[in-house]
Amino acid sequence: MSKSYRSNLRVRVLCAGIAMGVTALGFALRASMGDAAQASTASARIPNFAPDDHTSWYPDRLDGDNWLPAVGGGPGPILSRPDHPYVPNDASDEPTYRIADLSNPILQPWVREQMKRDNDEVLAGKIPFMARERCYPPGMAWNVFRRVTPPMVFFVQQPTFVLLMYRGDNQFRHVYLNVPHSAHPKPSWSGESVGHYENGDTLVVDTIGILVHRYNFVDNYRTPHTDQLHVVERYRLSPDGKTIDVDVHFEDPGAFTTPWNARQHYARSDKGPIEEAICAESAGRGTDIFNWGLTHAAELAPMPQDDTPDF
Amino acid sequence: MRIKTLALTGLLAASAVMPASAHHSFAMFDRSKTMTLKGTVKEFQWINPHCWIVILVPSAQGPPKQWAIELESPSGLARKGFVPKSLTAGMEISVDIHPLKDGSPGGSGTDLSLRLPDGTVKPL
Amino acid sequence: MKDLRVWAGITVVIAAVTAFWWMSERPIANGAAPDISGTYWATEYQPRIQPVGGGELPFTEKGRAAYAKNIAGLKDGSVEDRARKYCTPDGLPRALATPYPFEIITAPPGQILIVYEMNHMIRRIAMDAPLPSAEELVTAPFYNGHSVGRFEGDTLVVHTRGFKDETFLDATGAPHTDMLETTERIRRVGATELEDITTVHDPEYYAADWQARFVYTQRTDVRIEDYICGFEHRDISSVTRRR
Repeated sequence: MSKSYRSNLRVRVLCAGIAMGVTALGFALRASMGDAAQASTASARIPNFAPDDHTSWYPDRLDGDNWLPAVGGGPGPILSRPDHPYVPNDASDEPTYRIADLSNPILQPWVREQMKRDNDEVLAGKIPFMARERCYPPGMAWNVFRRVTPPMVFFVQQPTFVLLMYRGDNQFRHVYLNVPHSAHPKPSWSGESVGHYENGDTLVVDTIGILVHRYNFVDNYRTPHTDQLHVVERYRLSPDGKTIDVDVHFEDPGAFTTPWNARQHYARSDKGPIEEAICAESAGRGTDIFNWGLTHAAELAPMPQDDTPDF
Repeated sequence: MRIKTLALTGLLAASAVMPASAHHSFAMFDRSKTMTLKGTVKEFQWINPHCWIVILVPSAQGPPKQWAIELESPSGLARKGFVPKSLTAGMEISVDIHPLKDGSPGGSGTDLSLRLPDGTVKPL
Repeated sequence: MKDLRVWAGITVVIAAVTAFWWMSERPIANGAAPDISGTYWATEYQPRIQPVGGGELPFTEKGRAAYAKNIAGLKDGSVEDRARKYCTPDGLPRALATPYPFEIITAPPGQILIVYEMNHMIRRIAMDAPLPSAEELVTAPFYNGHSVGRFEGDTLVVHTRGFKDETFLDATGAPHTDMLETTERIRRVGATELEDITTVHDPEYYAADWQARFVYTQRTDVRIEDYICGFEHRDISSVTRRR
């Protein structure tokens, strides 16, 4: 073997070795990126609201479409006027509409006046507005809905966000994790939600930028809000993973005399997964039962409709 | 031929999110009365929360009158052997209903029955 | 000497390609399924679906008649475009032509979700369950059908059956029956591009299966927004409308 041949051979082997080494390093680095991502999620101790795609949550009482008062008292949600108790559909053959108790001191005067007009219309026979019944998103009334057959509410947890899904009408909202609010969020029906996990068992959701609209309320009593509304929801998973305590804090000096708190309580259902359920399926078919000779039927809130599509 | 009970869950009437009010109960139908409509199917709406038959009933005094008959949800009707194409536009059927109390052309067919063109009686 | 330069050059090329590949945005963790999650937005919109290879859709006589009926009906108002008017789901493959963003989410275990800003649609692709029975697909149809999926290498293959028959295949009213079946092959085709090649199978209206291709750009600067029918929506002027 000649000297130059040996020298060239050494260089060829060296080049081949460098090429293989760089390639192997690339594989190793990419694999470790995946490992690191998985390890950080596991070590963060976050509550697992969705161990599988069949897990969903629903209020475990017939009037789940009402807020519960906060534990420990203090300023709380609007409930029924005592002389007109709310009776849900499933509780009786004689269900009733909601008439708001306006003696609750949280209401600013203009809110009380508006809600009194609403009450009077319902007492006179008008069918009251409920967002989910007229195919509107629920806004900050997200957590109050009737206990119909599950599945209902889903949590889809990712490292940078949580997607909350509501089976009814396939509504959803994003909660972006560990980031601040935008300086000037564009108002939207569900607002801009950011959040984080606490104590290994709680998802905290902070929402601002909630659009003011005549059909956007904080409950099913048609309690309005202003553009100052700020809502903090805390979803606390029980140690056995079977229930969620939801504590909600509302602040809106334009609409309320004081911040107030409300609660919801969810039980877990395994009757998933999410499926298609479209509110507007029956829109415009001429069989809306509420047009059947009912008094004030023409005053029903029109369902959302687009007569001039954008494209 | 009956279709076996659906295995899918969650397809029962989700009336909390559909155009239905807390006050929507069967109280609006006169359950003490039953009447039979004979006419031509205009539409068979296979939708939630209620399926509907829209039927044109001949009238002695002019054009046919359109009636709307509320039925069960799709999953409820499926358990009774119905499919979306069980009724098609143009089919001549007769159907029993509990009419609306206020006299409007509508009623509920739930727990009653209809008759197909070949005479088959189908419980609703 | 020339020989050595060639070897050195080969080494540099291999090193460069490896470095580029490592730095590209295609994370694959330890041999798991490819990661196609993210928010995507098309840069073009075509109201008339374009079959791969061009030309007309391969209508049967029945299909052609149904299409003519839809075109006439949409024009005179006797046929409603409920997806645009009431914002019910567009159905497939029309929903894939959306000029609004959508998001692919691979969670929780057992499914892949695709949430669309337009008409706030949620598509669930079952990754560990079979399609519902034929009877259930007929009695419980969905606008966007029932979907099951699996990965084949770098491609997510999605089979969908059980469609409601009141949607169109595109904005011009291309028809389909409730026996429509679609197969989508979804994969990344570049650092930021995703393609969805959909095969349409509906023998009553189409004499042969045909494909349409949709391409999207991944956007890390876009968040899915609320979408309420008839309300103001996001600016889509960045999406070029093709005839």
